[in-house]
Amino acid sequence: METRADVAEHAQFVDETSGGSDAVPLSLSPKVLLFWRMPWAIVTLLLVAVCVIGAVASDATTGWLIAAAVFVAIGATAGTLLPRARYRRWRYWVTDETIELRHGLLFRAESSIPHFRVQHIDVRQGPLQRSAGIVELVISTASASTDATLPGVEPERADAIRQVVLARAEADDAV
Amino acid sequence: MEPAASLTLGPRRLHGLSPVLDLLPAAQQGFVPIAVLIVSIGRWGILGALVLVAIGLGWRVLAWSRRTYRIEDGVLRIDEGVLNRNKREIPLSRIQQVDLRRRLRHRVAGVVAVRIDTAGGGSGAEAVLDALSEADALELRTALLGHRAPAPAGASQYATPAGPVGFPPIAPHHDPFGQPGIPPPPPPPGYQQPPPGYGPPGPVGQPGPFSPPTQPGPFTPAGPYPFPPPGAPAGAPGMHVPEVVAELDTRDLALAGVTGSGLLAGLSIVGFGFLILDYLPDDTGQDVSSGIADLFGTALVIGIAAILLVPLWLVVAAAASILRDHEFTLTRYGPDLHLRRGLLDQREATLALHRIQAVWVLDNPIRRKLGLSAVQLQSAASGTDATSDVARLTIPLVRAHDLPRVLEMVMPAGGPLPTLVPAPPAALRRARFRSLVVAAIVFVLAVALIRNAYALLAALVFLPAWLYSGRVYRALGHARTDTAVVTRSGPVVRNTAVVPVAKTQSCQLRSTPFQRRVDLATLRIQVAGRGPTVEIIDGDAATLGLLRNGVLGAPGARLDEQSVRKRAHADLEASDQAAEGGQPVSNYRSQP
Repeated sequence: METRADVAEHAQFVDETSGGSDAVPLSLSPKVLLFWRMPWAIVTLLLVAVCVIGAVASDATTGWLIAAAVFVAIGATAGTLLPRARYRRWRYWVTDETIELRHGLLFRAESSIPHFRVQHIDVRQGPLQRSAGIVELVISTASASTDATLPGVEPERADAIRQVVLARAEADDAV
Repeated sequence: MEPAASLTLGPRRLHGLSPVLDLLPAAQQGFVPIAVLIVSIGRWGILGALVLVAIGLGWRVLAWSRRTYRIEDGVLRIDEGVLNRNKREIPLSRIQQVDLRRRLRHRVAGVVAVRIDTAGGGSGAEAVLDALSEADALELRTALLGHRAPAPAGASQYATPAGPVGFPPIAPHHDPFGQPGIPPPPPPPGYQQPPPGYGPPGPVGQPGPFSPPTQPGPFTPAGPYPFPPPGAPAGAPGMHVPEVVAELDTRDLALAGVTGSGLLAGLSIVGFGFLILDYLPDDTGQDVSSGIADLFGTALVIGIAAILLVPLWLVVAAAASILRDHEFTLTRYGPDLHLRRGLLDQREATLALHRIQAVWVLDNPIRRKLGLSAVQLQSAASGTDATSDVARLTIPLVRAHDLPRVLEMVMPAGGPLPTLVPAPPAALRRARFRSLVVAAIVFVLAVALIRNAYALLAALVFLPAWLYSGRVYRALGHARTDTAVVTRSGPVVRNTAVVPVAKTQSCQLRSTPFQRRVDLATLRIQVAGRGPTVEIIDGDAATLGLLRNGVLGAPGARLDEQSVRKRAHADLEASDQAAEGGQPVSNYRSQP
């Protein structure tokens, strides 16, 4: 359960790790691995169920069982390796001037959003994310095609980032 | 500005013919069911149809009698509704534009549909008054727009400091088509520079060809724009002198329709294909030649049909262009652009210059030969009305010598088009590889499916693929000036996009594994609104990284955001003073 102390601690961490050329890259929450693996597990289970039903209902039992084994093998390896590789590539920085995101295995993307362009920051949590204990942070600018979504961070970290970024975005309003 | 609070426009109804005009589109949609009804039931069907029409008309008359609009206390109030009474209040200070539209039925009746948009959008117009008489509509527009708050002092929309910021700027040349830079000739002695925006300079003492109209045309408003508020003396502060940006006559529009239809570009490719067939040897064996003769037979038939249809297609394209953009006039009144166009469906739209996020210059091979192009203004208008002139404003025809002037007028922060830096040679190899792979797939499929000697003809596909990839590469290019980023792409329809650095919302550098192998990347520059993203395709990765940092670090962007927010705050404060809290405040913090 998050407390104000947790959020403040995260905010301080984000503040300290950002700024200048020493900006430390931040990673997503490890729980996002669970969230990314769920679809693999669900699909693999469904396919295996189909194969089992096929094995029971038809004559070519061995064929269906082999197919089931193949699906399990593929699902297990891909479901283990791909999310982990993806997690390792996911990095973000909250610097003095911008928010930077770097992600993608094959098709890599590096996004930069200046703080003063941030219009609002939404925190979203679907049922799968709730069960994994993470939230999705969506940073919006005036452009509909800005790609600045952190797919899975801890709720306290999300609040901290929101505080820090909005404070910096608002700083220009005081002029 | 005080006058906002004192202006009152008494409660008025829409024009008396509005119920009938409203009924026409409904009748158009209901025509088929009613016709079926009449045909199937006969005499009683006619009676039934008349009853339906009467009910529809009666309802609309009732709605008309309940709908009134008025302006008081700086708020536009619209009361409407037969069963559910609906009171809308729109603070005058939030109204960004008032567009007039005259469709065919409006022109027949001599009325106008008024569409009112506030800043920040949401989906669709804030209010539509359909229809008002001409006089009422013009008076309403004067009243609504005459009180717009002036831009806050010190927040210049176009402030972009000069000087290199992180990336050495390329010296701008005055050559929009990439010719080696030749500086413009020095002006002759005794030459008098006309005030900016008045078009190419004429001899001393004479106006250039684009001086403002001296005689009222069919669209000329009843006074200088923005129209003086009732009671204010003419020449009150805030009046702007109009400068014509683009004015197209019927010939221009026909030319735009014919050259832009894509037909001629397509024909050139087909013609090229026929040219290749000409080079085949005459007798390569009896079967093959008879087979080819069959092929030519059908090709001949198709060719003749195409020859007959082509002029028809061109005429239709020209006519469509004329209907859509008749008497196209784009005028700049200070910080606003005012567009009038249309023959059957006349539209008048207003677009504030500061809302323009990017300018696209489009041409195709035919237009390039003729020295023409089209210019599209992409704005931040977030309304989802696809037919809105404000979201994407297109000038159908701009001549090459006119292009710098037009660009200067619609995007002062853009500057003249610089010479573009071509993409690295690795990009050419990538383009060739992609085209040849596609050609190879086509060839393999042809051989696999056709299975005889004719399939070897499919090898012909490699030549066009090679040429196409060359075009893809030559079209790529980008440049960075002090104030803008320019990028170009497109093998057939070539787009050149100009984005002021100050309008950049965010950037994204993307790369595929193939690009990474040769140190290439694609840079996307996002601007406000829902329009297309500006892309620098297949540029050198290191250069694009520096460019991105330079663009994001430019002080112009911060100034732009500040001026946007100041405008929003000024609007909000004015509306807080004027409104009684009935109008919900928009969710947007600022309206770019």
